[in-house]
Amino acid sequence: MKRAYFCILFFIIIASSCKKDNTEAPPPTTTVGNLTVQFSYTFDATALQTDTIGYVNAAGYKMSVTRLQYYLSKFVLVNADGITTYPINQAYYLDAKDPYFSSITFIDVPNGNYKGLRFMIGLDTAMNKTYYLPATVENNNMEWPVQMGGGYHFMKLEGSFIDTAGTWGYNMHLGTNGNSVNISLPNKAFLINSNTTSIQLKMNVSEWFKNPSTYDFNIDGVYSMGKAPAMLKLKNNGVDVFN
Amino acid sequence: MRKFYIIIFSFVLLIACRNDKSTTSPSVSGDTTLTPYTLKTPPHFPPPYLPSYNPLTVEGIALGRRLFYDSILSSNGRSCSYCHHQNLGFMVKNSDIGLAPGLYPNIPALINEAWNPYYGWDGVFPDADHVAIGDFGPMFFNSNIVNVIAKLKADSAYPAMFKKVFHGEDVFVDGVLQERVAFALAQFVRTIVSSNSKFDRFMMGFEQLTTQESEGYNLFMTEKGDCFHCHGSMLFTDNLFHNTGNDSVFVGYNRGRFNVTGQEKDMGLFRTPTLRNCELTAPYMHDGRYQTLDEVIEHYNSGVHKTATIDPIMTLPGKEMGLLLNSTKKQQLKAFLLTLTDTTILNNPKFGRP
Repeated sequence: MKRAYFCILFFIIIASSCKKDNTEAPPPTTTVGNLTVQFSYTFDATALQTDTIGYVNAAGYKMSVTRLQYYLSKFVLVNADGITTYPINQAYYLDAKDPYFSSITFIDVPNGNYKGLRFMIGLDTAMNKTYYLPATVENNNMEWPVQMGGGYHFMKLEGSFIDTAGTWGYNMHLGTNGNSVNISLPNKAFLINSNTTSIQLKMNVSEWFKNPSTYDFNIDGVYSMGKAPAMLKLKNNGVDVFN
Repeated sequence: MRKFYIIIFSFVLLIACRNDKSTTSPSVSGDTTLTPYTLKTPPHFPPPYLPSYNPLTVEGIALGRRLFYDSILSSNGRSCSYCHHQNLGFMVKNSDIGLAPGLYPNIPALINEAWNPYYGWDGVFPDADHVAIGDFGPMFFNSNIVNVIAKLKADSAYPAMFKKVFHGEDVFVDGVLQERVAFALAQFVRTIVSSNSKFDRFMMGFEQLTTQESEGYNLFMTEKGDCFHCHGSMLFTDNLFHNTGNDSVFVGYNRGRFNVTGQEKDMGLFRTPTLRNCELTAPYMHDGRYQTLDEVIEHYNSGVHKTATIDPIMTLPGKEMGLLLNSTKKQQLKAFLLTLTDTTILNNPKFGRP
C-alpha cells in the first residue's frame, strides 16, 4: 500500500512540476514590432549646438541653449485608417545634451502602416503631481515646488542671450496644469513590421520664440516660471516645435 | 524503504526540472561567504549609485569603517577621520588641520555619498570607489606603501578581513592594496545616510516648522530665493555642475570643472553640494571662502559675479545681480537651512570608531 501511495505521489508531482514545459505553446506568429523615436534639435535650419551663442531668435537676440530637458507623454499612434491605436500612458524624459535620453522605444506595436502620431510636451493632470513619477535623479530635478503648484517642470529651456546692454541668462520653464503642449504630426508616416522601425523627430528650438507670438526676453521676461502670461505664450508657440 | 523512495523522488524532481532550475539558481562564487548589505533608501531619494564591482557587504563595510579610523595607512598619524570628524558632520575646517584656506579644496562632508555620481568639487573622480587612492599621497597620509603593507600584514585582524572581503585575493601588493582600501572605505562611507532632520520629520508630518522656518522654506522653494533649482528635492542637490557667480577671474582650482574637461563652457563650474547638515559643515563653497551661512546667503543676495559661464538660473528678472532680499528674508532663509541639520549621524555608533 505504501509503495503504491509513493508511486502515485511520485507521478503526480513529476507531472505537475513540469507543467510549464508540457503546456508551452509554440511561438506565436509575430504581429508586433518596435518603434524607436529618435530626437534631434535644430535652430531653424541649423543643427543645434548647445552652449554656443549666436542663434538669432524672432525678437532679434543672439542666443544659446545650455539646457533643454522636457517630458513627452500621452503618445498615440494613428494608423492608416485614421484610427488611433497603441495609446501609451507614460511619461518620457528627454535631454538634448544627454545621449542616454535622446530616444524613446515603444515595444510590441501592432504591425501595419501608420500615418502619424500625437503626443504631449509635458504631463497631463493625472501625472503632474509631486512624487507621481519614480524618484530618479532626473525626475527629482524636474520637480516643480509645491509652493508653486507642485508637479514637475514640463520643460527647462535655458541659455544666454545678447542685447544692447550685454549678455544675460534666460530660463524658459514650462509647467502647471493646462500648460502642456499638444503635438500632432498627422503626416509622419511609418511602417511597423517584425523589426524595429526608427523615425526621427526634430525640435526646432526657434519655434518656442515665435508663431503665433514673438517671445521677447526683455518684454516677456527672462524667467517664465510662475508667470502665467509667459508660460501661455510658450505653450502656444510650442505647438509646432516638432517636425 | 521509504527513504529509498524519498531519495529517488528527490533525484527525479531535481533532474526533471533542471531547465527551470538553471535560470533561477544563484551563481556560485566567492561572494557566498559574504553578507550582502541593503542600503535603505529614504523616502523620495532616487536609487543610490551602487556599482556592481564593489557591492555593499557587512564585512566590507566593517573593514572600511576600521580603516577609516585607523592611522595604520599613514606615516604621519593621520586617518580618514582626521579630516572627516563624525561629530562635525564628517568634515573639518582646512585651518583646523593646518591647511591654508583657499589653497586647498574645502574638505567635503561625507553624507549621502551613495547618491553622489561625482566626487571632488570639480567631479574629477567618476566614482566613490577610487577616491581614497589619492589619500596615500604626500598631502594626506604621506604613506610608505612598503611599510603600510608590513603593518597591515602584521596586524591581528586585517589579513583575515581583507582576505574575506576580497575573496582570498592577495591585496598586499603595491597598487592593489590602495584600490582595495579605497573600495572598503567607499562601502563604509556609502552607509552614512542623513535623512532625519527636522525638515524630514516635517515632511512626514511628525513635526511643524516655525513661522520663520516656514517662510524660509517658501523663499527657498519659489523664485524669490530660487534655491530649489540646484538644491531641490530630498537630496538638496541636483548632482550637477554650475557656475554660481563666485568669481570674475578663474585661476587654478577656481577654474572648476574646466580643469577636468578642458571645455570653456565648464569654466568656474562646481558640483552642487547638498545643503543637508549645512549648519555643521562650515566653511562653504569649493574653497571654503565663507565662514558662515550668512555670508553664503549674502553672496547670492548681492555678491554674484557675472561671467560668460554663469548659470542662467542665476539671472533673475529685474535683479540679475542677486536676490536682493532684506534682512528679515535672509534670516528666514537661514532658519529654513538650519532645519536640515541631522544630529543623529553625529553620534550614531554605526558610523563611529569601532
